[in-house]
Amino acid sequence: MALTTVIVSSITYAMKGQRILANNGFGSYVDRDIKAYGKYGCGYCICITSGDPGRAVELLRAHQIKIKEVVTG
Amino acid sequence: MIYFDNAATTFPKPPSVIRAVQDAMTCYGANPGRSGHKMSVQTAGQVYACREKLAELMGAPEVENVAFTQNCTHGLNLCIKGILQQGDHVIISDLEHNSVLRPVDTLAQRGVITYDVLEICPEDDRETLSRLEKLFRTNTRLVAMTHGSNVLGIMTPLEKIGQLAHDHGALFLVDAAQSAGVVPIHLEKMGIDFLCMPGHKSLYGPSGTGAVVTQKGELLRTIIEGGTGSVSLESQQPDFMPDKLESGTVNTAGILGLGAGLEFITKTGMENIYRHEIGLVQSLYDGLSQIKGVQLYTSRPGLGRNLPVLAFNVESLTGEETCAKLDEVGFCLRGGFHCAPLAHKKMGTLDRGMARLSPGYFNTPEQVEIFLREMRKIAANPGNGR
Repeated sequence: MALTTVIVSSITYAMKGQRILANNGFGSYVDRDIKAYGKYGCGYCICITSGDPGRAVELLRAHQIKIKEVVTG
Repeated sequence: MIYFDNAATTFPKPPSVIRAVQDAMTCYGANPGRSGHKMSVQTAGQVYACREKLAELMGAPEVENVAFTQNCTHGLNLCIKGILQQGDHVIISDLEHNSVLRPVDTLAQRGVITYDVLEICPEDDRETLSRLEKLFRTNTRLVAMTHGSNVLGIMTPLEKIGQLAHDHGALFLVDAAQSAGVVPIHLEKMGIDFLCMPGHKSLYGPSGTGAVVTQKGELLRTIIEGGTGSVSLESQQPDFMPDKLESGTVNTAGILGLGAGLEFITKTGMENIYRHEIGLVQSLYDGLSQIKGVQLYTSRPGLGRNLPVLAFNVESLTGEETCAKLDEVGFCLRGGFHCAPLAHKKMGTLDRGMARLSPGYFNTPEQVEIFLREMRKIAANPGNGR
């Protein structure tokens, strides 16, 4: 399954997003944003490892996590 | 050595705080929020955990409402100078520390703002609020108030002051230097727009830590810009919290220590800590009030009305001289003006200052007895100072 990467504004949002996902049964980890490097400058991303990525992204948006981009693959 | 100077900084720190700082130096030594390697991300996780704990303790709805600072003064400057603009009016109290008075007065001296000083009535909140009501102007932008005096321990009626500020369209900033970790503070319920605190006093963190807690970070103009580890290709400072207020590398070891301090407070119980400390202050007050030649400046401290801080003087001695004599017999107190000239002006002690007692959680009733015994000797024979 292709990995869904949610690129966020900052490490704080990445950590917050990971917590939100974990509390709702999604697996994820925080990583440096290398998928869209150069587009946004330095940043972090949440890599979703289990659970429906579409629902995970909706959940993050519902919690006002500032998402820059969602990259699949 | 008996340490009664916790209003300056708490000592000792709980062992867990010391361990957390050591762990930071050995296991979490990377720069959080800058790199992608495991140690950097793990370190960032530890910093985030402290942020989470502080947000919860202070009733902030979101973790990103917490921005770490070097100390309370740093946070107060970020907020005061970030909010105020040309032509604004500010209200402060006559108990304010220089960390509020100086940035406000500096802006006034530069012709940017005007300000008024509210006279706090320690025994009469209604009168305090009535006086506050009269100070508002159409251009009052900010009410900046201490939660409690670092000299006298007097607490201000925070919620009602905040309500009045909002009724008049002003923002409400609270200096919680002496109250954070002592008495409950809730950002939302108390209507606080900007809450500033040190990490190294009653939150039991190391020195070099503090925080601004706010839901209104977007209102602040930044006075410090720099690297944040986020949106680095933009030459403008990030406009989102906490990055907006956290330029440069944070005090990682300090923050991890602060996280352990917050856990200590939660496990011990803030109310247990406060009751213990107020109990000691009450015993000190009762003992000192029986000693001829000792002058006290407030009524007997009470639970819910006072912070665990008590100021006094000995006849014919200045506050510094009293503290010097106490230092000779092993007691740590702060004498002088406590960076709070308005409070000393209020109490009529601009010529001599005061000696200040601020017991902490690790002080004991036995230490209070030893102190009172020494005070009886000093008061009986003050001499000519040091």
